[in-house]
Amino acid sequence: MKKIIFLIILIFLGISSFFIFRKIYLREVPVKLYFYSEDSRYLVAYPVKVKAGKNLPLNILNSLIKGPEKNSNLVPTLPKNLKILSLKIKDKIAYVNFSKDLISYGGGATYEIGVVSSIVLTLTELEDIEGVQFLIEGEKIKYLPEGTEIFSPLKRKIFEKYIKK
Amino acid sequence: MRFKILFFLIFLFQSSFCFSEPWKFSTPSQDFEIEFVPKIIEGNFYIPLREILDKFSAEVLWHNKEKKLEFYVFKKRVIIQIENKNFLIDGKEKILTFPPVILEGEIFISLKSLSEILGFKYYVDMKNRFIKFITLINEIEIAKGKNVQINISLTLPARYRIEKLQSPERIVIDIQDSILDVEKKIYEIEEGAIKILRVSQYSTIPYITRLVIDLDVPLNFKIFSKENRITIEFNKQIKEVTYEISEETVKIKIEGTSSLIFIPREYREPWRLVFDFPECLLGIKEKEIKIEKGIVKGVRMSQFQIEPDIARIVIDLQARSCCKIYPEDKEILIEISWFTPSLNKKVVVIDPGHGGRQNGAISPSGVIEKEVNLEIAKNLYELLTSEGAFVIMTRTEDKEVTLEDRVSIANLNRADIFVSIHNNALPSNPAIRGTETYYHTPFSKSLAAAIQKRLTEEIKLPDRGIKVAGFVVIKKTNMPAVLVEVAYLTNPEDENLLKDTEFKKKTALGIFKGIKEYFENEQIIPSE
Repeated sequence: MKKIIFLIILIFLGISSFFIFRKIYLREVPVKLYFYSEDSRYLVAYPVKVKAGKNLPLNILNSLIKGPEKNSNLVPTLPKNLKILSLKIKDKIAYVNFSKDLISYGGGATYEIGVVSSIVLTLTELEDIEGVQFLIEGEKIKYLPEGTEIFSPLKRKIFEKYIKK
Repeated sequence: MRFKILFFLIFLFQSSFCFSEPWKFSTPSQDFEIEFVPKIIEGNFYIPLREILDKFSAEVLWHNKEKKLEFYVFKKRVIIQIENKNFLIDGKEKILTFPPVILEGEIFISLKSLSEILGFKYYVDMKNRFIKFITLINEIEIAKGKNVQINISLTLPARYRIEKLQSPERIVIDIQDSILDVEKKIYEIEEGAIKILRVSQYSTIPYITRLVIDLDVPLNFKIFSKENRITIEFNKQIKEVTYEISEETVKIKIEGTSSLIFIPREYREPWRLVFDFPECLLGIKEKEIKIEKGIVKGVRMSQFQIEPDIARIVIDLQARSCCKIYPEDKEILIEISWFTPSLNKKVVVIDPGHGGRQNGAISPSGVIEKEVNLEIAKNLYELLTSEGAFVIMTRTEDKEVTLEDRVSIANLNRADIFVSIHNNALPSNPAIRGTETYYHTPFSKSLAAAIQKRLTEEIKLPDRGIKVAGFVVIKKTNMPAVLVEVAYLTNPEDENLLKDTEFKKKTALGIFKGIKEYFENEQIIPSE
């Protein structure tokens, strides 16, 4: 009898510590991702939960690459095979180093506006990020294929005009 | 007499003497009381150093072993040692009249020694238990870069009072409790409407230094003090607007004190051109130029807004104009002529997007954007030249041209308009199809609207509207400039159309009609 009670307590402790562990280490925070609207004329804020912690900005970008849920009617903005090689934040600027896939689309104003503005709008939702410096395989480049200047950090303000009001 | 007040002499007191009530201090920037009472040792007046440094928000570090106190205050790094006359200031060794001492566990320094370290003057009012510090103004520097900056260095931070006076126009700044310690009293600035800075010891009871900046016209300015430096800053100015007339063209030259940034706009009823200059002051006395020759009625200038400063120049016109803008370093040349409702002799730059290694977007079945763009551009070239326009193509074959070169081709040829031809893509949403036209400055909006309207009428694809974007070819070109996205390579129906030669001819015809309408029809959409 004592053994059974002891066992039950042990199991109970095990389960509760699992939940506590999950709450501490796998804490999720609500964030906003930006995707194209169904008609791809505007960007729309899409609320999701992302794993918190030191890698939060990286986790957010990876969720952005993954795209919205199928039933959301929203349109992904980034190439599925895009990789974030590194992400550093210094003086409120996020230095994001992308794989070459970021520029492999070659052209198309709608696509390019979607790529740049979804990244800038999504990252600058975070309090400690005011701008984004794009790097392609570690290098700064002057322009994206269609002619968006990316040599200097991009601030949120210029891209707010693309958000659906 | 002045020196008697300045350098207080304390009469003979015996060894040490303690005061019981709190002493009041007054510096040029703050008033405070101290808890520790000053002491008089062998006729010299000693004050508690750490308490004073705290009031000055100094960084302080005590090295107990060497009995050294290191502190950083008013941009000076100082190391003193107890019972030692030598001290270090910014790495240089100097000598104090009286060394610092420790009394009752506190560091005391003679007022004279502290004034030697920080470089101020003082006087002591024994009766009222009051000590006043007076700052020295030891440097005045004028910096003329993008903006004009007057930097005043003091030994202690100080409060100031500003007054703007008229006839003649001037700014007066009085710095409280300060002694002017510079040789030069007159600084000829001569930058636009900013003429001369004059400095003087305005009064000695109390000590006030007066700075007067003589101006031609009232100018907005910023004044800020950081620690022991006061800075007065003026934004760049428009310093001259001149004009000349040759035949039917009026040339207006706007000159700045440094490189000017501007936003041009066109308005109708009545027709006028409006140029806004952000972060800019109007340094010109005459606010109106009457021309009444050719197309230009006159030019009006104003300080449209202050903080942020925006200068505005309005060019009033008799009728719709044809306007070309040439920014060159510190000046902008605007050429204005009568609007001629025809394509004859108009300079049009056509920019087929991408080329060479830059394929642009590629459709699922392999249609390459750069090729489609070039074919449409060549068709457009034929149409425009047949109506007498002078057409320049940024490329006529499959070769790489940098975006900067495309911009320079348009700017150096002083084009009337710039039209970049592209095709769109959105791989993640193949259902999207249709036509869009992008522009950047409000100046280009009517051209974008005319092309979008005529093009969608001609090719009958969904009209996705005109949009603002910062693509470099429409951002850095000086004339009305647009980027046309004809159709989507990622949409199967649009893609099929782009394979069709007839469709590409129709596309060119639609753009051509839009350009023609822009040059012919006065019923354009007014800017903004």
